[in-house]
Amino acid sequence: MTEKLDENFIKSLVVIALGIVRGKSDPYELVNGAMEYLISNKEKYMDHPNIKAIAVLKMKGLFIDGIRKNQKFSSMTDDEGNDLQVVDEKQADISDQISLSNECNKVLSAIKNMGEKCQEILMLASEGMSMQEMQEITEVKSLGTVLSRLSNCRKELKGLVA
Amino acid sequence: MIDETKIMQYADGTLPVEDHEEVKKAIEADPKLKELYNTFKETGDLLFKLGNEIKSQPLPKNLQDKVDILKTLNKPIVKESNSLNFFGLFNIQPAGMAAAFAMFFVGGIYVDNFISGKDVGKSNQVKALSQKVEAPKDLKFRGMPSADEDLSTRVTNLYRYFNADQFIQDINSKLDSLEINDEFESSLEDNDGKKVKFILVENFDASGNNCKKVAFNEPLKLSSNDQGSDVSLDICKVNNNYEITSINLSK
Repeated sequence: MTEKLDENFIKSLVVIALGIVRGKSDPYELVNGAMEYLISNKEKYMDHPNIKAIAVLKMKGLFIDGIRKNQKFSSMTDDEGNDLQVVDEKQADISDQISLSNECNKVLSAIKNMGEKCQEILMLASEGMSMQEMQEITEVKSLGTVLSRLSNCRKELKGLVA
Repeated sequence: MIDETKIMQYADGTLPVEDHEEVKKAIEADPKLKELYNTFKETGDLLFKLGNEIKSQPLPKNLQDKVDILKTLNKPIVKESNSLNFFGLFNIQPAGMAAAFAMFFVGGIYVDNFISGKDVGKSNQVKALSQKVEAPKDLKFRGMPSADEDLSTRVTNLYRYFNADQFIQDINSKLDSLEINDEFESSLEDNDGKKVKFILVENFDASGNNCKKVAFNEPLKLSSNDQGSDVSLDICKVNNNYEITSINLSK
């Protein structure tokens, strides 16, 4: 479906960004990066039939770039040459920036503790995407895989919030 | 054995209707499937609430700036391509769509408080009048002072006069109850006070959206050089409301 590019479009990207960043970076920054990309390439994408997929794939690319960049500068070794993981204390968490109800906070926290694939597909589902749209964004080959992944992740989520 | 993804789709309301009975019976017969159904219902509600709450949050300044930029990008996009589908209307403002729509009425239309007639003075410009008038016979299309005027300019001239919201409101209440080939009216009238009629041509699915193709019941003269064009509109249900997604022209 072609999206109307407006405030709601950006807000829907925020929801999806939450599933991409997995608490490791600021989802708003990811959305901002994707929007800057779309705006600067407007001639190329304004008539694209699924511009949201373009934006989401861009956000994924930006996130991976950010991870690589951070790894380059935050990886250290101890005296014996073993890798030390340095936690970036400045990393943003959307929980600090938005106020959700207790119920939604609980759900969001549960999702953050799930695997990467579940985080992604559950946030896509919470954004209200169709299975076809999820398939395109997750780059999964079959619709059946999307269905079964979502089904399994929802069962896992139920166990976590129960 | 029922696939549990079907239970999930049933709980979400996305399962094809033809599978409903089978899944419903299976759920009623098996407590485990009933529990699974409840799990999907509950998580569906939770995810829906979560998405809505996140979307209800105000955007930070840098993203609000992007919203303002998008508003400028969403100005009407007009394309004319060999008299085929010439609008990609999902991304344009309703007023732009309405403007293009207004162009289709031969000899003038009466929409809300706007009626136009050819200026009988020295110029060829269209005037907005306060009451309905008879269109001169040589007026084929208002707002089109010359045949070589580009489409975009004509649209710009016209769209401020057209009440798109009213048109959408008119058709929203009727579309769902119509059968193929049913004829219906909107509040739009031509310059003779005759209601403009439309025909439901086709129901179709576009990326999961319920869409309908609606045609004008007779060819329309779009310019003084036009011998008559068949005009149809693609109207899709988005967020429970119909929106015009494209306007199609063919000779």
